[in-house]
Amino acid sequence: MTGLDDDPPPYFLLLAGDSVVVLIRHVDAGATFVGPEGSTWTMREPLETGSKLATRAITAGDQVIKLGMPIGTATKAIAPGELVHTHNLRSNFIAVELEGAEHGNGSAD
Amino acid sequence: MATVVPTEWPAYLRADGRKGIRNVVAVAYLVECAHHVAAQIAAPYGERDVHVVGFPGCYPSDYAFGMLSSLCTHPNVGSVLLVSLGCESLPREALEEAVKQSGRPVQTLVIQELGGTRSTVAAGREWVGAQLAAAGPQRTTMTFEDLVVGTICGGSDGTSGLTANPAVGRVFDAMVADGATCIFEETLEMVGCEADLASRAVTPGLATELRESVAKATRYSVAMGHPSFATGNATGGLTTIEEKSLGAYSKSGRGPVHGLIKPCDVPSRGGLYLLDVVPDGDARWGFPNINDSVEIAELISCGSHVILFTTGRGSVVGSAIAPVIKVCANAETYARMSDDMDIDAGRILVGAATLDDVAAEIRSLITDVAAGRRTASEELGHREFVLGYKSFEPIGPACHPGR
Repeated sequence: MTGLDDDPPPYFLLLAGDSVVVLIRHVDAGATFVGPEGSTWTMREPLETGSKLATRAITAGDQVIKLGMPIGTATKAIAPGELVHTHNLRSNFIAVELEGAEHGNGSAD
Repeated sequence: MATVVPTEWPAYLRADGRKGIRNVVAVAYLVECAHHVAAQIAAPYGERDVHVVGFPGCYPSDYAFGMLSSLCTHPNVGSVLLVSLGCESLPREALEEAVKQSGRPVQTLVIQELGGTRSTVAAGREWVGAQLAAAGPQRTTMTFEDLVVGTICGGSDGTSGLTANPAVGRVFDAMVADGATCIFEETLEMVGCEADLASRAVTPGLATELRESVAKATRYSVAMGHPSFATGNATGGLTTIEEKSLGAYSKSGRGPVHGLIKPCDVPSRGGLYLLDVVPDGDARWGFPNINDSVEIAELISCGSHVILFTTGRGSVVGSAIAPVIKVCANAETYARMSDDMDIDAGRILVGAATLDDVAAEIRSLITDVAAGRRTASEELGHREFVLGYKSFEPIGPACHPGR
């Protein structure tokens, strides 16, 4: 996003090369807009601010990159413009061995 | 938006060769019992840079002594008045000697010896007034290579990680390239970012130390009875713990990490440093950081001339000794609290500015503030200062490999 368009897209690309963009406002089911790589996306469901959409096709096992950092591993194939969340992304984080510490596995709803 | 950032600006030259951006008279109380007297001494000088710092504890603390020594010899400080009750255990002679060795004017007032509150306040005001009337220190010029910038986030919300924090990250990337020293902290909020953090270390030994600092923060947090770090608390579209931590971690930018420091360690050359503010050893002093002001004081103890404070919900705090620049992540908060804010990073989310625009604006403001422009919190008289008990082991050789 370069900003200053009359009708700016409802998402924000944090860093060039990221595999996700972040929604900066609520979008309704059926909303269409152009993704950062030029293809038109149609929303299948209403989504809240902060939700992530894939910028490009992601294969199961790929690292998902936000602001240049891996935020987890894709658990299934994700199409451009599709929601990226707990149903298709799991944490890479393996908690240090600590009594009483839960181990994050990215499966929280 | 083309912003021309000056590469040189006027500064104060200290006898030890360090350069400051303010000329503060520090009034330091050495135990809580002397706090009121110190505050009364500074009270008439509200418009001037007479700042109260101090330590409330009556029991010995090497950490508190080190912090007060570092702060009283900070390059933004021109002279120091120590206010002692008389029976506290902080070694006032040693502190006075440390300040004297740095070439600064210093005076110690002992309340019990001077006859109480009224006479000590009178003596203190006379001394401070004389400092303010005296010819200022030698002036010099300063460049990015002399500048130390710290960053912290407080009162965060879902916008912090999208706007203000990554904008500060870009400022850090640019300023390290210019030779500045940039310091980030908050290992307690870096769980899940260890692998990325370690991958940015300039040596394998430092990578190990960085990982261990986050692991220590996790152990401490668990010992304090905090709920452990789980992914279930990732909300607002956040999916994984590393993504949640990325919000705060993004203030560090994407460049190499040159060292790991602890409070009172002043990096000897420019670069990006992680400040470990979690005490070493068994968890015994309570919460490591009871509020943002504790961490700001520690960033300043490492030489920070200026602090970049990102906030979404809207913190109002400033600090003694070093100016605080407020970068507001959320446009609605900015509109509501604009008097307290210096930068509106929320414009990014409405398409009115890019991350690079805001980063350039912050960078330009840093040099203006370094040249003397007052920040919002300075204008409003914010001079928060908090210092408590902690203990640290010295950093190991792998922590400071240099560049």
